[in-house]
Amino acid sequence: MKIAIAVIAFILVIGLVAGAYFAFGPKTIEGSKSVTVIFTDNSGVPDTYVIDTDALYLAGAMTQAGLKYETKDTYVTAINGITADYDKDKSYWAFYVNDEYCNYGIFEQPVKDGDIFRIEYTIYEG
Amino acid sequence: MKAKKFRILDIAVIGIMVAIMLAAKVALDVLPNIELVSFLVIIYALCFRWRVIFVIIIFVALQALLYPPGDWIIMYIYIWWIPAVIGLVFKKVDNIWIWSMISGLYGLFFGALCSLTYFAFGYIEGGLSFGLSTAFAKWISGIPFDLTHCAGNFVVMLVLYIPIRKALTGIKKTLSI
Repeated sequence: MKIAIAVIAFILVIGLVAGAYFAFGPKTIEGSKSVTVIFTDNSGVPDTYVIDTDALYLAGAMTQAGLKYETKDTYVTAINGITADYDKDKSYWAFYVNDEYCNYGIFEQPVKDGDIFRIEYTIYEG
Repeated sequence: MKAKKFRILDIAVIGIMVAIMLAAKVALDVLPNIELVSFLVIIYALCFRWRVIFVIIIFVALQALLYPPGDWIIMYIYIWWIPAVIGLVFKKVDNIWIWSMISGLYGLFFGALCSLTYFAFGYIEGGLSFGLSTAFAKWISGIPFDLTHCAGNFVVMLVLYIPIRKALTGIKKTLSI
């Protein structure tokens, strides 16, 4: 009986956590959005793309902007053939939305009308 | 009560435990949030008691040497003590379902525990409110991974608890430690 109660409590806790994600997690917006993607590779020269997109997530907007990404799991390893390898030289791809560091990966980061995304080849200098 | 001496045998056992943990960590690195370390910390705490303290210290130190530095080091300094303490405190509990659920819950709240580090960063940078919002955002964004972690930990414990606890208990008796 005690185990049954514990199992129910366990499932409830999982449900509550999942519910928190649906309540407070990323919200996507359907329809056309105008967004700006500022892409800076290892040359340090930024390229700016202003696109109209129906993409729900940043990954879709990147594709539409012509940025070809490669990932390992959900982690972006290369963009347009340029690989950032933290193990090799402490480089990584940094993603910002409206000057805030993105809290989500490119497959979860929602796209809103007017968003300005910055994608930058970055070398950690700790 | 006579205090137990720290023996050469203990050092050997701790070394083997660390090696197994490290190998398990590296082997499953390719699978995001599916790991054996939580299981091993709990089972070591249950079977080998205080030795788990040294296992965690050495494991974290080796991780810091093997992997590039990052926020994770701060998290690793405190994160593995939680299942270890649970294992040490509830040593008499010998129920596969209870341990599977505890391990699952640990996976479920792993992101929340890690977000304490982001709270500290946010607090230092912009005060209490910024610290809380940063930690909350980090926790929420990682929930899909936490759910995977929860399921993985639950299944791993469910499958391995009985055979491994039995095996380790046997080893402990054989070695008289």
